[in-house]
Amino acid sequence: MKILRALYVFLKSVKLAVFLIGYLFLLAIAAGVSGSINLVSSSTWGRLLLLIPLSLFIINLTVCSVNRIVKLSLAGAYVRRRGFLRAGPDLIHAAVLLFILGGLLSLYGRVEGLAVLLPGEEAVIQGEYSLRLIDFTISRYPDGRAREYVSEVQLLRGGSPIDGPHDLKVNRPLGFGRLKIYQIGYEEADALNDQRQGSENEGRKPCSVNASVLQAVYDPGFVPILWAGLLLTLGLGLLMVDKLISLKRE
Amino acid sequence: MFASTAFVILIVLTVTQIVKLFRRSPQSYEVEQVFFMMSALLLLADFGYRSYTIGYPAVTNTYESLVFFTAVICVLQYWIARRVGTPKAQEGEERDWIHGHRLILFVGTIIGFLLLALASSPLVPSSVRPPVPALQSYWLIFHVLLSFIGEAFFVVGFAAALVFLISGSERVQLEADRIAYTSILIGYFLFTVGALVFGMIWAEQAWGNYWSWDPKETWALVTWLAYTLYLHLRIIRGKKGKLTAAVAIAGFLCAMFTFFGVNYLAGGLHSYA
Repeated sequence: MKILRALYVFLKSVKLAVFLIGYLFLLAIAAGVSGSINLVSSSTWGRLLLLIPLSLFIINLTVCSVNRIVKLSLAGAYVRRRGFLRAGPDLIHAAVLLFILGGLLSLYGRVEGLAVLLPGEEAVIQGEYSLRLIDFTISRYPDGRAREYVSEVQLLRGGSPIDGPHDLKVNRPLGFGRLKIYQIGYEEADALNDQRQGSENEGRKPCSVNASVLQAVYDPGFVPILWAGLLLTLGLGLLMVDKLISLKRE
Repeated sequence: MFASTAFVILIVLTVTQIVKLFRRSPQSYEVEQVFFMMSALLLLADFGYRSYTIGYPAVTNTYESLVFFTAVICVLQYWIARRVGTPKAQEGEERDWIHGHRLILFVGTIIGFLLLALASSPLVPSSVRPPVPALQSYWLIFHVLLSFIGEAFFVVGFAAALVFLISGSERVQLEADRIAYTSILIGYFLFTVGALVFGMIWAEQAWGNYWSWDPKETWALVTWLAYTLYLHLRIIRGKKGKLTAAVAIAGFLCAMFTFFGVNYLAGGLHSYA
């Protein structure tokens, strides 16, 4: 019983949270300096150095949050005047846990595909569904930089159009069911011809038009991330107001 | 022209504050208030003119970002100069308290001066160019502007944390801690929402991936973790923690590396400057 109590006190301590945040801070610097998260996730030791502290962090955050909510609820802190402001940290902690959940869902459930299409070409999305690029236009600034590039696309099922045509632009993805289609960029005709050199493209006419680069994505983690963002914003707002009022009173 | 005039004003301000710091006698800071507000208005006019010309908020390259960032810093400096106010001729601790405020003001001015000096240098092209397709989004307002406003509060937090560490007066330390905590609290909220939350939403809309461990994203996370550490350390170490102040300084250095270091040392999806 004493051991369980000691373990509980250890797991809910803010000092443990501070240690783990500091550790994750140093780990993030390592990822930033190396230029890739693969530094820590590509080897067994690297994964252990990441997963064990991260798991401990999740447990610490959960135990600490539950302990705090129970303690404040029993003390009636939330129902006093401006008591709702005390809920700020609880929303923040819930948001962080939701962020981690969203990240895990994305890590294991995300599906994506990239296609470089010339006008008239199609890319299979899934099964009998495919996407056809009807036309691709680029408008440019006087200095030659791309001003806007637009793909006119159509969704096909079994070769027959079922939706569209729609215009697809950067920052304006199209949704088809659970999938989203993004205008990622484009390939200049010369670069495309260089890429397509090889025996499998022998006899193929060189391209004289630019190709559109499209990406189809299904990410189950994004919705939890959105909710986490909302909770985090709300929680931080409440925390900030609560602390500023306290500081003003001092 | 607007930014150049603001730069000249900041040079004058820096020299004026150096003189006042050495004199340590009771001084009015009304002139500083006027100059900070003039600099802010000039820089915001530059931002407004460029925004009107390109049809989007003018934070699409390093020069424009520096101008906007410095403008917000000048606004906050104006607020601090008002706090210093017209000091009465007091002895002992009261003068130390005023001197502490002057130091905080001075550090903030130096940072604003350095940012504008960089903007005025050949390292940073200042031509007015409309944005590339990836930046043509209203998220430019929510993500970039809020991030810089948050970082401007981090500048004040950095200045106050620095004064906390170098001051021997408990009164000055208490006030410096209060200013650091207040500004970091506000900056943390704005930076988290602007840089991370809105950044993730925009990334998903533009690139189909809300987080890709891009150098800018990774270092923004490092900055966020540093300030998260600061806020939690302050819970357990209270107002007298020198370690807490040191973490606030480290957080600001991470924020500056996120802004500059990543732009010049690493590539990635955020390479628009």
